[in-house]
Amino acid sequence: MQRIRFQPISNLIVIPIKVMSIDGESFRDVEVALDTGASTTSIPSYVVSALGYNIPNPIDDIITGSGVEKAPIIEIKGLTAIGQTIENIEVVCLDLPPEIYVEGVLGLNFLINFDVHISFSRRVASHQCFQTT
Amino acid sequence: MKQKHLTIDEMVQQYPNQWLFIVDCEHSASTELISGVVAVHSFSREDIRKASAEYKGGAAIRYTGKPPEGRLYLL
Repeated sequence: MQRIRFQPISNLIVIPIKVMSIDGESFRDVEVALDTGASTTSIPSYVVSALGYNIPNPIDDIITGSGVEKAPIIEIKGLTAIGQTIENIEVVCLDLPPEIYVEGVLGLNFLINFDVHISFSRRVASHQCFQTT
Repeated sequence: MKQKHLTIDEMVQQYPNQWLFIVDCEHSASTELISGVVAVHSFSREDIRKASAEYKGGAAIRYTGKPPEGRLYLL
């Protein structure tokens, strides 16, 4: 089981993620909010483009708290959080407002691959792979 | 001159309330950033975005300050 300590910042669970470049030779490590209410992980467009991905025109509808927006969805080569990597995962390229100090959210399309445990008393988030029987 | 490897705590002390672009990163097995070299530091987030666009290697982006108290988020 991998685990990471987090500091609840303004009641957000902020954790680092590593986004792999399109050639697998580089990465960007940014801080995002762990968000079990988000179906998909989001990453800002400046990170995606710096890693060599082409950002398509925004044709997909994304339902947010403030309405329906169009945003591009791309498949990235790999995403690592809390010591676990998911390869070829879709993310939404979404630039959050500058008033928020995280770069995106880590959503269920990543978290659903693991048993995730959050201990608020110990301020530790951990996850482990499913046991296959 | 070769820039110094700093831990996260040292970065927070040396560059308070700034955005950092960090290269030569060392991570733990849990993906925590342990240390690195601060290549760019700025009070402007935009400066860090420009640095990220120009740099081809692995790098981390961190803010060393704290968000304003009492702000509520619904993402």
